[in-house]
Amino acid sequence: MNPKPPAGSPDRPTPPRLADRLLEWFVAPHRLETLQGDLHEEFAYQVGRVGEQRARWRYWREVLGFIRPYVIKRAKSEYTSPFLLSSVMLRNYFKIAWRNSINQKMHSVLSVGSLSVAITAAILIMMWVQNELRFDTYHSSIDRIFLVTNQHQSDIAQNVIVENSPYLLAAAMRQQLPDVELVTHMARSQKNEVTLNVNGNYFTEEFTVYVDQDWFRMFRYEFLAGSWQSFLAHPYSLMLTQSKARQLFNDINVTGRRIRIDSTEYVVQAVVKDNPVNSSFQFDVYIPLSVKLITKTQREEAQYWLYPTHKTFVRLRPSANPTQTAQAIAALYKANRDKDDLSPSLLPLQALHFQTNFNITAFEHTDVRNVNIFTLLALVLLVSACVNYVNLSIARTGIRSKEIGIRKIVGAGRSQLFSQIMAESALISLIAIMLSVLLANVCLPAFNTFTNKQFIFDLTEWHISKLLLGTWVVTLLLISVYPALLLSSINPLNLFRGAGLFQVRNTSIRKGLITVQFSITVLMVIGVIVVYRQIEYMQRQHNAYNRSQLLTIQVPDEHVVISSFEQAQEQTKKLQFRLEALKQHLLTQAAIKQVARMNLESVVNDGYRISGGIDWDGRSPDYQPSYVSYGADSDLNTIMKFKLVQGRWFDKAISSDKENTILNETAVKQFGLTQPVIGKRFNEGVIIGVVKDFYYQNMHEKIGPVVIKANLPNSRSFLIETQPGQAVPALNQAIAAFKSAFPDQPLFYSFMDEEFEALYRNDTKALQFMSIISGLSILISCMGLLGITALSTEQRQKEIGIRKVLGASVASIVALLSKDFLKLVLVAIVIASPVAWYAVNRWLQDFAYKVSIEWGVFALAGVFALFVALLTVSIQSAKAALMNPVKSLRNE
Amino acid sequence: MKRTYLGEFEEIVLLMVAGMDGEAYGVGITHKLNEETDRSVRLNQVHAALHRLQEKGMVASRLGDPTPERGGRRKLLFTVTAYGYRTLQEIKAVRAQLWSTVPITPKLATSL
Repeated sequence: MNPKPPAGSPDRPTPPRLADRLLEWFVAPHRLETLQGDLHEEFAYQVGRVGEQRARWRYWREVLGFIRPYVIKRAKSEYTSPFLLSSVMLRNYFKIAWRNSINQKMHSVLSVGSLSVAITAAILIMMWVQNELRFDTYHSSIDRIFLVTNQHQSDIAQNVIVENSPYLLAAAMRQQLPDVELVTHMARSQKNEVTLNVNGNYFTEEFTVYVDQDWFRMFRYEFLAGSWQSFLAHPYSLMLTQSKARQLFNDINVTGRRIRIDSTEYVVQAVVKDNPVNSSFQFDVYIPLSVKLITKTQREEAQYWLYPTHKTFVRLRPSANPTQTAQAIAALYKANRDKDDLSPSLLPLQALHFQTNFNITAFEHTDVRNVNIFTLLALVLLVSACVNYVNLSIARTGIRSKEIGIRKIVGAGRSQLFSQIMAESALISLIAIMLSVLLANVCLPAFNTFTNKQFIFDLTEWHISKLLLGTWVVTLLLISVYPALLLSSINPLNLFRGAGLFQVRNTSIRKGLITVQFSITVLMVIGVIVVYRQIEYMQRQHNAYNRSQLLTIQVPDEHVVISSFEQAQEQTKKLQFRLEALKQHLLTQAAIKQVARMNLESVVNDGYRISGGIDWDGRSPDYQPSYVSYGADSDLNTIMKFKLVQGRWFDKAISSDKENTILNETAVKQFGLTQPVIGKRFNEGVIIGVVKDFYYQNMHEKIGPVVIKANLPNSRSFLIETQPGQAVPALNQAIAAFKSAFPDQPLFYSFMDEEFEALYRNDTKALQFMSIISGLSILISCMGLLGITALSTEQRQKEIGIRKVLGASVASIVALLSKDFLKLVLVAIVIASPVAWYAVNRWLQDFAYKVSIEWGVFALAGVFALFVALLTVSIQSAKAALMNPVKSLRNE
Repeated sequence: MKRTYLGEFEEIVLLMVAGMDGEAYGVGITHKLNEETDRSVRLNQVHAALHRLQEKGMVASRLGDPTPERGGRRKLLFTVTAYGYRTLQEIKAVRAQLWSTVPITPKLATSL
């Protein structure tokens, strides 16, 4: 045998390190020493026998060969270790946690406060999100229900998705498609078409719906009175929701009561529970679809395959394939329709709520992006509050470390310390969550008004308690894991030796967290500023006329049975005369300044366009642009004050003006009219003027071509300008005039400023929401900052005392203490600005007309954040700086 | 008579332990086995056998002295127990008994 080099000498070969590490990892500690010793001895022997390289190989083989259960199995400990969550220890944890929070009042108030504020906001937002995600799930076999949607090609627009299908489709599907289990279709009334006359009181329903016999087989309703069979048994029946019945009759047991619609008596046959918040079908008045098939004309009209008129829902058999069914529907179209302008597809009912590309819809929809954004915001708030807690607990490790050290020396294992801190966090978060349940209940009415929904915070409901539980778990994880790991890793020796525990590392993490928090705040502040500026900009653009003094009133259609053309003409003439007389009558009222008659319900247009019916010299025959048609009498301009770019407005004295037309600038451009525009033939008359583009709808849309004509028989809308400050008397006078001219007719009026408000309701809501969220975010960040400064000034008390004794001024001490934090806020501004720029740009893309984002916005948000941070920090630092140094220095 | 079953390898390892008279340990047994029985035995096999023998109560272990080539680690030394020794003797007796029945020149199979 070769002479062995002495042990420990550098040239003595050593076994492979990695294999040794593996061995040390898997071998039970009580076996390791002798086993590894044997292996090393064998290795040394083998090196001498077969050389180092092969010995290493052998070593590996041996190590791997030792992977056996008896080697790995750990020996039972000599001492019984107490169960980790034994009740005695748990009680102790909670007691200590309680004492700690009582001792550190400010810390506890700040962390519990910010946590509960954030949790409240998060719960409310998530309640909304959850509701959005649970839309329509309460029907049975929901995954097999589909809506037939059609891609529609028309003159006005290409590839429009419509939710309507031809009336005859349902019957054809029922008979010819074997995959179809159930088909039902429904129609929605025109806006304000149905007016309910309950004992002489008029209630106008914005929308009513007509449903057929299978509607109730497919969708779930809870009947409080009557049944759907009795409701469908007779066409002149009504089904009401509970709250509608209460509104109409002050009672819910109203079956058998009578309601007049136009000249027909209807009988209430059923009352159902209110539609759930998560229902796409938010209708309060139901009428059997058979009512639409009573007259001969109606029955004939119903036989059309041509027009998509009804919303068709289908429930497929479990084995069916929706794509194939859609193809089958396409085949039905092909067989029955002459035109090839509809391509059908099946939209799952669960996806209906997030489908936002319908041009006109009867259902409630939400953009799925909003759901994502709101979830993100809720999470951000929650994280932000958790950051506070984590920050404060890390900052307090200095104080806690003595306790931890003692515990370790007495014999607490790492896992015990870990579970202690977990228990503490559990206690804090539990208190926070209970507080936020209270807060959420307080905020719920305001929240319901804001969302326009009826949420109920019922803890016994599983989906609500699920939400709470989820929030609690997330919060607990966020606030506990890092501090628990950090605190339990303290080495007690270092602690008592007086070595800096982990100072450098943990302050940088703390600073990072504060920066993140303030970045979020700055981001939101920038968001608020931009949204505010955009809304303010939009409002300003509409300010050309005095909105608060304008109101519109409509005379509804009279449903008169007309049998001949002559009679119809006669009727029109008579109506025209009455309407004109009404206008003259209105003009004599003291509070009314000006009246114009229009064809549209209002100058605020919701994007309704028509095509065809216009012609001019030089139009290519197949060019049929869509446009907005204003029909108005010549008084419109005195109210609307259009700016004429060329030509003149209609003149009452010139009788040919009845055939003449005025266009807006966009119309001139889009129709390709060449100069001189004035005097060009347009329909039977000529173009007499061009008005400057004006906003007639919200600024998400581009201004389209507008055609204004002066000849409009039966213009049933009246645009009324009141004398300044006399809106209410003017309205009363106008209503009185209407009542005398058109008795027994419901009438609809609206103030223009309300209409504009409605136009921007979503945007204003977005602004409000953003403001609230950013306010909360600011609040939470400031609470965190306050806690941190309080701790850091406390720790530097002596230093401040000495500085003061040596002659430092209060200002210099405040500056010293604030500097660090302000630096963080500056970094936060730098981080947040580009992100904010990207985000607001995305938001602004939805607007056709928008404000530009200037650097001033970022500067403003930055200054604001700095100011808030400075204010928060200086509360503490000023207190510290003003303190008498004797106090801080006397006890050593 | 009833006795704990001892595998062939275990039996040899137990014999080794008995033969080395209180100085038996993993590497020592392995090397001696390799030299004397012309087998190629690995350390982990020996350890496993020793572990089984100890579980059966045929060997007892104690800690020995560290040596340099072990990196200062102690040896786990094995001694045969009374039970183990008796078992070995019984095996030997049974073998001897059986041998005594074998004729001096037994008939051998002619073809394989």
